[in-house]
Amino acid sequence: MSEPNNGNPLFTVPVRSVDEASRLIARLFDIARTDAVYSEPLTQGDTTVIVASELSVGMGVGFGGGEGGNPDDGSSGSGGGGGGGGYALGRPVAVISVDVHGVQVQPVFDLTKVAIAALTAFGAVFIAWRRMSRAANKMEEG
Amino acid sequence: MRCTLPTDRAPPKVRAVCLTNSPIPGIPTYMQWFTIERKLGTPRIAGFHTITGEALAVQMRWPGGGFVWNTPVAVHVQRRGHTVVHPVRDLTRIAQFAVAIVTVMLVLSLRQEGKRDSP
Repeated sequence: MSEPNNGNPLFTVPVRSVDEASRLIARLFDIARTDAVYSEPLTQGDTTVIVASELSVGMGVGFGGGEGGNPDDGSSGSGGGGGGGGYALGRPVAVISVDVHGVQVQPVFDLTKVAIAALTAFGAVFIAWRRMSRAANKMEEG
Repeated sequence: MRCTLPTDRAPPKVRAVCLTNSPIPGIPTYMQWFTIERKLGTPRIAGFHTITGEALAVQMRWPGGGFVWNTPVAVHVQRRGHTVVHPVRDLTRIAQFAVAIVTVMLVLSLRQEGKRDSP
C-alpha cells in the first residue's frame, strides 16, 4: 500500500496529507466526464452494443490537530488525526444496440430495486396506519 | 461585467450570474462549488452510424470532499448527414418516483381520514 496510485482503484491509496487528499478528491471528478457513463462499443458480427449507466460518487476527508500544555510546569502536548469516507454507485440505465435494422435504445428495468422500494414504502405506511388505528381505538374506549 | 461559461457543443443548463474577483476567470465564485452540465461525449463509430452520447452531470465540491452524479440523457445517432436524437429513459428511476408519489398520496389521504374521523 505504500506505492503510488499507478492505476490502482481510488480507495487503495493511503492518504498522508491534505495535499494527497485534495489530489484524491480531484480524481473523483473524473466521473463527471460524459464518456464515463457510456461504455466502449462491443461488436459481435453486425451488432454493436453500448451500455449507458448512471454513476454517482461521493467522498469526504477531514484532518485535525491541536496543541496544548501546562505553562506552569512547561509541559506541552499535541495531537492530530484524520478520517474520511466515501461511496460509489453504478447502475445500468439502457442498452443501445446498433445493427442492420438501425439503432435501438432499450431501457434496463431493475425490478428488484423497485420492489424493495415499494415494499419499504407501503410497509412503513401500513405500520403507521395500524398505530394510528390503535391509538384512535384506545381513545374511543377511554 | 458579463461572464461567459465554457462553451461546448451543448449549452450548459445553468446560466451564471457574474461576480467579480472570481479566482477562476469566467466562472462565478458561488458556481465553483456547484455545477450542472449537460454535455456531449466522444463520437463513436458503429457500423454506418456515428453515435454520440449525451449526459447530465451534477457536481458539488466542498473543502475536503465532493459529490458527483452523472446520468445518460440522450444518444445522438448520425448517418448520412442526418442526426436523430434518441432519449434515454431511466424506467427504474421513474418507477421509484411513482412509488414515492403513491406513498405520499396514501399518507396524505390517511391523515385526511384521521382528521375527518376525529371529533
